[in-house]
Amino acid sequence: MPLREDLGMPSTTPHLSILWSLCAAAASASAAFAGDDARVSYNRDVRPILSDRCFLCHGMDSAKRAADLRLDVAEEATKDRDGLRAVAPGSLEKSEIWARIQSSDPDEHMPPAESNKPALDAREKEIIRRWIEQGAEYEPHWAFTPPTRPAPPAGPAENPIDRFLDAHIAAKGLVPAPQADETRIVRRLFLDLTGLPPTPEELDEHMASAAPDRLDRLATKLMTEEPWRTRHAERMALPWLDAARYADTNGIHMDAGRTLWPWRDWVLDAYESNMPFDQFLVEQLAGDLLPGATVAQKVASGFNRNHVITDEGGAIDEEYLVEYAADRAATTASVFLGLTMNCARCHDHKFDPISQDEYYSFYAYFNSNEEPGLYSQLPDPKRAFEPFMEVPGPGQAERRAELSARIEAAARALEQDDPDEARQREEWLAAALGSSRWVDSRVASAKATNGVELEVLGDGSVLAKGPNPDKSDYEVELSFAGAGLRLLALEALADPAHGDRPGRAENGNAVVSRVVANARPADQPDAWKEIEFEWLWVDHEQVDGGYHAVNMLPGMGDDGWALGGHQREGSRVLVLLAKEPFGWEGGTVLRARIEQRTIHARHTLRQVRLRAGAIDDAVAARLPLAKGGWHVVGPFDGTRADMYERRIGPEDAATIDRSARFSEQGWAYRADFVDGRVNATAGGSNIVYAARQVFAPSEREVEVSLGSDDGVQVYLGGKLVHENRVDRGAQPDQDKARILVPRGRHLLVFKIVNTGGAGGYYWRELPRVDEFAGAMVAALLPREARGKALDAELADAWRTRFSPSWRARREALDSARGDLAALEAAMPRTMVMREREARRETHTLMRGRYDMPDAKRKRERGIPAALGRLPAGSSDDRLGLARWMASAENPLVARVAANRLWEQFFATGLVRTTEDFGLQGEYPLHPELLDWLAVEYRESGWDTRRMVALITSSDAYRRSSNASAELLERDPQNTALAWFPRKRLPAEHIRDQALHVAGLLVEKQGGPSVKPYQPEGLWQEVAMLQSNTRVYERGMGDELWRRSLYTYWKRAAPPPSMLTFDAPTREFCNIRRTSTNTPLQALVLWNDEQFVEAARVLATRTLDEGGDDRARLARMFRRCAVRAPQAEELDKLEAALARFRQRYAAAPGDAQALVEVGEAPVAANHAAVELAAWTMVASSLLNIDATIVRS
Amino acid sequence: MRPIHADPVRAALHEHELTLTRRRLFAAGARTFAAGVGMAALGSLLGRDALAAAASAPQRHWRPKAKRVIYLHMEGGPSHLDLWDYKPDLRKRYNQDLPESIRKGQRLTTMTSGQGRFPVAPSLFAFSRYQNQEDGVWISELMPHTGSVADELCFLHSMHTDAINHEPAITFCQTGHQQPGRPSLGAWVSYGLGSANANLPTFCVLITQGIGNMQALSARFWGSGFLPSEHQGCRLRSSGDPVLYLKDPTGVSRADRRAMLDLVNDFNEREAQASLDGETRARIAQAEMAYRMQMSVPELADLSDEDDETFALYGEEARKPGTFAANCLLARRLSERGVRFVQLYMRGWDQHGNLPAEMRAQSKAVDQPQAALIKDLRRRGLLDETLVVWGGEFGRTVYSQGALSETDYGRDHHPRCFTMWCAGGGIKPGIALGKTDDYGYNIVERPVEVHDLHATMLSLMGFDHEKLVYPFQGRDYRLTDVSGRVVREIVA
Repeated sequence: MPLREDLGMPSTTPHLSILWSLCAAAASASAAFAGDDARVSYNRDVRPILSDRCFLCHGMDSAKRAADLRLDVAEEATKDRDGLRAVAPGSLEKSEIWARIQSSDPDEHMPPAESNKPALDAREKEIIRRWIEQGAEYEPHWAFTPPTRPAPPAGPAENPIDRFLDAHIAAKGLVPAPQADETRIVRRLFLDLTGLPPTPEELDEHMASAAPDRLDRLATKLMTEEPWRTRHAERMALPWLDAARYADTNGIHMDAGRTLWPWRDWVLDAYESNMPFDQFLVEQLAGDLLPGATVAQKVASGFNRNHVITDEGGAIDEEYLVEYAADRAATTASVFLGLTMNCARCHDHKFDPISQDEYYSFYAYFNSNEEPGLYSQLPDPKRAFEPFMEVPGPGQAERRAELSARIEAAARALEQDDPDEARQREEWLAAALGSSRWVDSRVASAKATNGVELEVLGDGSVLAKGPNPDKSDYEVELSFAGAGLRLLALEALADPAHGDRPGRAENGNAVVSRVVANARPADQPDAWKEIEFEWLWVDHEQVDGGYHAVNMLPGMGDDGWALGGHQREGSRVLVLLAKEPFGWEGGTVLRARIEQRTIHARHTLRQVRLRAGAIDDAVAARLPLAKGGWHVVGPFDGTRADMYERRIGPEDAATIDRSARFSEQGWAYRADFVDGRVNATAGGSNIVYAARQVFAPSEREVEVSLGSDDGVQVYLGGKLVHENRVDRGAQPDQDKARILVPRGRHLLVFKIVNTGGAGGYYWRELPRVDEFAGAMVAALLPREARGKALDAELADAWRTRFSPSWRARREALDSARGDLAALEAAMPRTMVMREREARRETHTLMRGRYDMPDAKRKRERGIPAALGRLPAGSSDDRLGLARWMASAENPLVARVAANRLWEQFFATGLVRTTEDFGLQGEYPLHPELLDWLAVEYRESGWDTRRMVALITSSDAYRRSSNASAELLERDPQNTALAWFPRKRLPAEHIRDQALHVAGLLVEKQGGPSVKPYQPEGLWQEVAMLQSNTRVYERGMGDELWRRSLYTYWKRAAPPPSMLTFDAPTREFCNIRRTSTNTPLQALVLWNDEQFVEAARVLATRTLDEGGDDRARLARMFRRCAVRAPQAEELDKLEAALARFRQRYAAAPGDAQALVEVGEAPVAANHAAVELAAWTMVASSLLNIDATIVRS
Repeated sequence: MRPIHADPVRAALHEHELTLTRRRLFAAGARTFAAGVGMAALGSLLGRDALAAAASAPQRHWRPKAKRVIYLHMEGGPSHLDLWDYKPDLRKRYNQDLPESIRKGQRLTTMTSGQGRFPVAPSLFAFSRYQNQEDGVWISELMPHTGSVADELCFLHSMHTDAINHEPAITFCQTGHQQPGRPSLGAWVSYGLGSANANLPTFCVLITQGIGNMQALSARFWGSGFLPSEHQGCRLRSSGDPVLYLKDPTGVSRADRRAMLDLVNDFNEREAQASLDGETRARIAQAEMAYRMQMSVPELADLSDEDDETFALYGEEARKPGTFAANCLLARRLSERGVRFVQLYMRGWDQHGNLPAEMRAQSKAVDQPQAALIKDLRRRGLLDETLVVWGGEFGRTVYSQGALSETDYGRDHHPRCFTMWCAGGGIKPGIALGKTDDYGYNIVERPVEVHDLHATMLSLMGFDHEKLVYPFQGRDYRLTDVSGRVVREIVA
C-alpha cells in the first residue's frame, strides 16, 4: 500500500502559521479594503496583526517585555524614547515600527526570526501603513466596553436581525438564497428547538394550518407546550452540559462514580421554566450564598463542582485544591466571560489585559470551598463528594423528621437502665467468671529504649515522656503474689489533653509489634522463664492495612497491632492468654517488653498499665476464636472438571506467608472482606482462595453459616472439613457446617470454585449461647479497666443475649435507624459549593505551582481592571462577582451569551471564536448585530425564549441551505449568512432521532444517569481493580431507550458512539464542539446494536402502518428525512427493498439473526424475511445525510 | 484548473489548497474519491473548507527520519534499578538509611512520607553486560532477550518528570501536561502527518492487562484534546470487535453492506449535488473507508498468516490475543501497513510491595516480545524508519517501601530519574545517555525531561516541535508547551 512519502508528496511547503495569518488577514482585510482611501479600523484590522506578531514581547506580560516597549497601549507606543517613537501618528518616516517591519536586515527586522513569528505580508503592511498615516488611532478592545444598542439599518425587513444582515449582503452585492421550502424550515425548527424531527403527523398538522404566522406559532409551541417543552429543555441543556463539564465519574485514578445529576436536572428545570439568564448565572455561580437559599439554589451551585477530582493515594491536598479552584476560575471565565483567563495562571496574560496577580484575585473567589484536595475511596458509586447536600423528594423531608423523632424516643427508652436488670447482669457475670481474678501488683521498674523515659504514676500506669523516636521498646516489671495465672492485660491509655488518643504519633495512632513476657520467682533473680501466649483479644484494631491484633501472636510476622488511634478516640485494652500458667505464691516478678518496631515511625504508646490475672478453666473454654483478616489468592484458571480435585497449594498452607507463590500469585490482604456479608471475588471460570488465621484457646466445635458462588471447600490445617459441589450465586446462609477446631493456631482456607459468571463467598460463625462472644470478653476485665464505652458495650452484649425486654427496645431502635438509613440512601444527594468559615488565603503562585506561593503577593478577591469595577457595596464573594457579571456594567456576559445562542442556530457564532472574546479572539462578523442582540437579551429581562423566537423568525434563519456556485465563490465562508448553514447533527441527537423515528424513545425527564447498549469490556480494560466503575452493568428495559443526555458518562471511558461523533470527554469546559467525518462514524450507524435495533423497530412500525411498498417506503423516508421522496428516490428504495427481499428469502436464517439484534421484542406479526429486508432499508435511511444533517 | 491569482494572499491560499486537496485525496482513499467526485465538486469542497482546514493542516518542517512510531508505555512505573540502571555498590549498603545528602528532603508520596526510615534496597537481580556500539551496557537478568538486541537500543538513563502520582504522570507523558485537556502524542502526530493508509486509522492503541498491581488508564491518554476528534486514538481490542462496531450485525453479509452503502451513497450524492456541501462528499469517502476497514482490520488482527518462525521469535504467548506478545506482533503489522502511531500499554508495573515476585512475572511477559519486535522490524527493513520508544511514567525509589528483607521489598514512585530506551527511526543505536548517582536517585549527567523526549520524537518525524502548533483559545498550543529541547546526542 502506498505511503504518502512514496507518492511524491512535498515534505516542505509554506509554513502553516503564514498561511493561517494570510487567511485571517484575507478574511478581515477583504472587508476593510473597499477602496484605496478607506479608513482602517484599529479593532477590526490593526489589532489582530499587532496582537499576533508583536504583543508576545511588547504587550501585557511584564516579565517577557522586550526593550521595555509596549505596543498595546497608545501612550506607550507613541512615547518619545530618546528621539525615537515606535508609532508616530501620521508619519511613516518617524515610526520606528514601520522601519522595522520593512527592514531587510535580520538584526533589525520585526518580528525577529527567533520569535517563530512570520513577517508581515504585503497586505498587513498596507494596513499598518494606512493606520499610521490615518493617525494611528487606538481603540479600546471592542469586547471590553459595555455594549449599547445600535439602531438597525433602514430596510424593508421587519426583523431587526435581517435589517443588519441585509445591509451587509447588499453592501457585498450578493443575492441571498431564497426562502427554503417550508417543510425544511419546520424540520429545522424541530431539530433546533427539540433535538428531534417532527413526525409526519406533526408536519401535516402544521402544513394544514391557515395562520399566516404559523412558523412563529410553531416555534412558540415547541418551547412552551408539552411534550415539546421538555424536549426543548433537554435540547438546550446539552451544550450547557459540555460547557459545565458535567459527568458521572470523578475522572482521575479510581474514576469513582459520583452523584451530581440533581444539578443536571436543575439545568433542565431552568430551561423548562425559561429562567432568566441572569438568574441562571447567579444561581449557578453563587446559589449557595443567596440569602435564605432554597434547596434548588444550592443544587445549582453544583455547577462549580463538575470538575474532575482525585482519590489517588499519593496526592497532596494543596496540589489539588489549587487545581480545583483553577478549574472553576477557568470555566467561569470561559463560559460567561468568553475569556481564556487560565493563560494568566503562570505569568501575565500574553494578549489580554489580565496580569498574573489579577488572575489570582479572580481565582480567590473559588478557592475557599469546604473540600479536601485528596478524596477518600469508598465502594459507593453513587457517592456525592463533600461538600454535598441531600435533595429530598416529595414527602421525604417529612418522613425523615418523623423517623428522627422515633429514633430519639427509642434511644431514650433504651437508655433507661432497669435496676433489676443491672443487678441480674452483675450476678450473672460474677457467677460466670468463677474463679477468674486479677492480682494486685505494683510496677517495680519501667524503662524504654531510644531515649524515651517512662514515669511510673500512682495509678499503676507508666507514662512515656521525652523524645518520641521512630521505634521504642517499653520494658515494665510488675511485682505480685499468686500462682496459676494465665492472663496479662494491657491498657493503652488515652489522654484527653492529647486529643484523647492512645498513641504518640502525630495522628494519635500507635502500633505494637509484640508483647514479650518473662516471669521469675521473686527470690530467684536469674530464673526467668518466658511466657508464651496462645490467644488474645482487643477492644479495637485498625483493619485497613491489615493491622489485626493477632499479628502479635507467635509466628505472625512483623506488622503488629495498630490501635487505630487516628480513627477512634479513647483508650484501648488488650488481653493476652498464656499457654501455661505462671506465677509463684511466694511472689513473682513479671517483665513485659512492649515492642514497637514497625515501619511506622513514632507510632508508640502514650501511657500503659499492665495487670496479671487468673482465668477459670471453664471461662477459658468459653472464649471465642481470635481471628486475623481475610487474605485472598487467585483467580486461578480452572475447568469445571477438575476444580474441586485440583490443589493449587493454599489448601495446605499453615500461615499467610506473603512471599509464598502459588502459580506465580501471592496472598493479597482484603480489608473490605468481612464476615456476615457476601464478598465478591473474580468472575469467570476459576478458583479463588480466601484464608484467615484463627486461634482457639481450647478445642471446640464451631458452627458456621456459609454461602458461595459457585461451590465451596473449606480446609482447616490442610484438612478438608466442609464441601458443597454446587452451581449457584452466593447468598447469606446457604450451608451450615460444624468444624472441629483443635486448640492452637490454624489457617482456615475457603476455596471458592467458580464455574462461571460472578464469584463470591459468605462466612459467619454462629456463637454458642454460653460463649463470651465479642464485647463479652470485656467481662473478664475489672471495671476500672473497661472504661465507660467498653462497659456500655459489655452491657449491650449481655442484654442482647439475656434480656428480652432490652432486646425488644434495641430492635425498635435498630429498625428505626434502619428505616432512616434506607430513606437517606434513597434520598439523592448532590455536590454543592459551601464556603469555608475561615477563608483560605490566596497568594500569587509562581509559575502557577501549588508549592510556590509568592509570600509577597497576597491577593484579595477582585476582577481584572480592564473589565471595569465592581459596584460599590458588592459583597466580597462569589455572589458579588455573579451579580456584577449579570449587571449592565459587564461588557462581556450579554455578548457571550447572545453569541452562543446564535451559534446554536447558525452553526457558528457572530464571533466565531465562541470561547474567546479577548484580543486573540476573532472580530465579530457583524459587530452591530451582536451588540444589538446582547442589549436586546439583557433588556428583555434575559428572556431566552424570546431571543430564540426572534432568531428563528428571521429571514436569515429561513433561507435555503443550498448555496449557489456564485455565493460559494464570493463568500466561501458564508460570513454574510446569505444562505443557511448546514450542520451534521450532534452525537446525542443522531441517536435520539433514530430512537424517536423508530418509536423506541422513552421520554422521562431527569433522574440518575442510565446505561444503554455498549460493547462489553470497555470499562474493565482501563479501570483499576478496586474501581467502583470498573464493570459496565447495562441497564434494562426503558434505560436502553432514554435520551442520550441521560447516558452515564464515565470520564476515563466515555460512551464510544458519542465520542465518535465528536462529543467532548467532559474532563474540562468545552464551549465549541468540532465536527469531523471519520469512518468510525459510519461503523456506529451501521453496526451499533442501538442503531440496528432502531432500524428494525422502524421497519416494524412501517410494516404495521400498512399500504403498498411504495406508500410504506415513502412514509419511512418521510419519518427520517421529513420530506416526501422524489419519484426517482422512491425507485431506488424499491429496488433496494426488492434486492434485500430476494437475498433474505434465500437465507431465512440470516433474516432471523438480523431481526433478533437488540432487546426490543421482535414483532411476531411479520415474517422475519420481510422484516429483515425492511430493516436494511431503514438502516440505510438512518445513515443518509438527509437524515443526519440539519439542512 | 483554477486560475493562478495575481494577489499574493490568494495565491498562497491557492497553493495551500492544492496541497490540502492532495492530502484529502490520500486520506480518503485516493482513486475512488477523485474519480467519483470530479473537479467541480472539489472546488466546492475547497471553497467551503479551505479556510477552516488551513488551520488544521500543518506540514513537515524537514525530511523525517521516522515515518511511524511504536510507543511501548509501561504503565505503573517500572523500577529502573531492577531493570536497567546498574548500581552494584548498593549491595554493600543493604538496609542502610538513604543519606539525607541524596534524598535532600524532596517530596515523597503520602504513601511513604510517614515512613520512619528509608532503608536502601539493592536490586535482588543480577546484571550482565551486553555488547552495544559503545563499551557495553548492563542489563538485569529479568531482560535477557532485550539484552540480546542491546546493540540496537539507545538508553536514556537520565529521564525525569514533574509528577509523582500515576494519573498526572501518565497524562504528562502522553499529552505533555499533567492536567487533562491536551491532545495526546499520537493525536499530534495524526494531526501533523495525516494517514498513510486509506484502510486503517492513523493512530491505534493496544492494551495489555498486566500481572502486577494495575493502575487506571483513561481515554484521555489517547484523546485528541482540542484537536479535531478525528485525531483521537482508535483502540484495537483483543476481544470482541478489534475496532468498535466493526463487525456487521449477524445476518448482514458483505454484499448486503455493499448494496446498502451504494444506496446511501446514491442519496448522498444527490444531496451533495443540490447543496454543494463538501462535508457530504467527505462522508461518502469516509463511509467507503469504513467499508474497506471492515476487511482490512480483521485481516490485520488475524495473525494466522504469520509463520512459525515469527511465533518462535515473539514466543508462544503471541498466539493468545491481548498478551503483550500478541500486541507487539500486532504493532509490527500495523506499522508495516503505514499506521503512524501505535501506542501500546502494558499495565501492572506499580510494585509498591512484593516487587521481586511481581517484576519477575511482569518482565517475563514483555522481555521476549519487545526484543522480538526490534528483531522483526529489523529483518523486515522497517526498523530504520520506525521509532520504537519504551518506558513508564516515572522510576522507583532506591529505598524500600514497607518491610525490607533479603528476598522481598517494595519501591515507591520516583520522578527524579528513570530509564527509557528508544530504537530505530533515526535514533543512534547501541548507545546510552545520561547517568544517575550511586543510589540511582538523582541525575548527575545530562538530564532529559519528558518535553525533551517529545521534542526529539517530533523532530524525528519531521517537525520542529515549536512550530507544530494548533490555535486554540487565542493562543498557539504545542505538545511541548513552553519547554523541550531536541536531544541531539541520540539522533543518528
